[in-house]
Amino acid sequence: MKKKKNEENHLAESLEESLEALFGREEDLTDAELDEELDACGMDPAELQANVHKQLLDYANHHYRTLDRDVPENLERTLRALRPPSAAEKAKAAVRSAENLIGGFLDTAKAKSSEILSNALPAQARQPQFAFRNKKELSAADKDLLRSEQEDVDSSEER
Amino acid sequence: MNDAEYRRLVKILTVRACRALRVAAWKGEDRVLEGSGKSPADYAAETLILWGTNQLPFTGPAEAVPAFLTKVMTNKIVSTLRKREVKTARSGKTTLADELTEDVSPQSKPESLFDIRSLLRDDAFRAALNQCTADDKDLKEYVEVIEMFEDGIPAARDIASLLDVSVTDIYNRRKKLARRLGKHGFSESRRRS
Repeated sequence: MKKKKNEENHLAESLEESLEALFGREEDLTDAELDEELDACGMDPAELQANVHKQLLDYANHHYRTLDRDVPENLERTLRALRPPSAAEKAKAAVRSAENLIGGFLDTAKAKSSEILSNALPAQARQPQFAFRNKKELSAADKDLLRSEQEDVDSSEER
Repeated sequence: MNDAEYRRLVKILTVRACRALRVAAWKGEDRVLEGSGKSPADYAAETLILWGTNQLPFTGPAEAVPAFLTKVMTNKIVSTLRKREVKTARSGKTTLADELTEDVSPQSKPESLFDIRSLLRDDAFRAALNQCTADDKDLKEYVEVIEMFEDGIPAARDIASLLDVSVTDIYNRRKKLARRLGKHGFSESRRRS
């Protein structure tokens, strides 16, 4: 029995080494990379968590709760951590993500429109006009122009 | 461990189970191991039950829990693969009870696939590797370098220095290979079902 166990341990070590040489260690993967690999294997991370939680819950109910025994602390803690979100929590999360999405969309739209406006207007228009002429004091050219316009108007009335 | 670490642990265990089944039981069996009826998620759950019900003697720090549990689960997978009924189911033949004592077909010897040298010589695994690396010369090169190391298993830095690339590059190639083989194994098992 012990010999068989040792042999299995040795084989398991060999398998672990092979896996590490080919693919690296699973613990070194980020959460996103773990999700990607699960996805590549055709598994949805949320469904996986729910599946494992169900198996643990069934075990706890069958071996402890129905027998009126206390569920071991470690198992209780694992169950709590893996519990899938309730319908209310899911709805709240959906609202939050919709708000974030809309907020993000508005921010992007705002940034884009100001970018487009700043590119579309000519350079002078983008500069505030600090210098302007005092319209109370007409220049000689302005006075001439006004005078000739007035004369045109008067002559057309006379006709 | 906090809630997020537990959730991560489930993913680590399941990815390990997928990889181990993909490699050691090479028939594209990522989903359910023929003869045992267990999926990678079942192995992860089973390991967490052992852990949760204090059936595993572990006294190390919390950071070492994932490594410890992946080891425990790998042992369990190896043990399942060596079971007679699993071997028989996987070989796909009907065998008389007294013939079960000695089954020497290569398919029935999963232990021959636990070692990387034998694994790389396995026809089915080689074919899968070739398909997964066909359009990617970096991956192909990576596999060729692993094969070059006759003794022992090369470390990432050894491969990196041989290929004159960074260690990060090697880590990225490993991740890519794992994903591609995962996808390949999954589509294989879908094709067969």
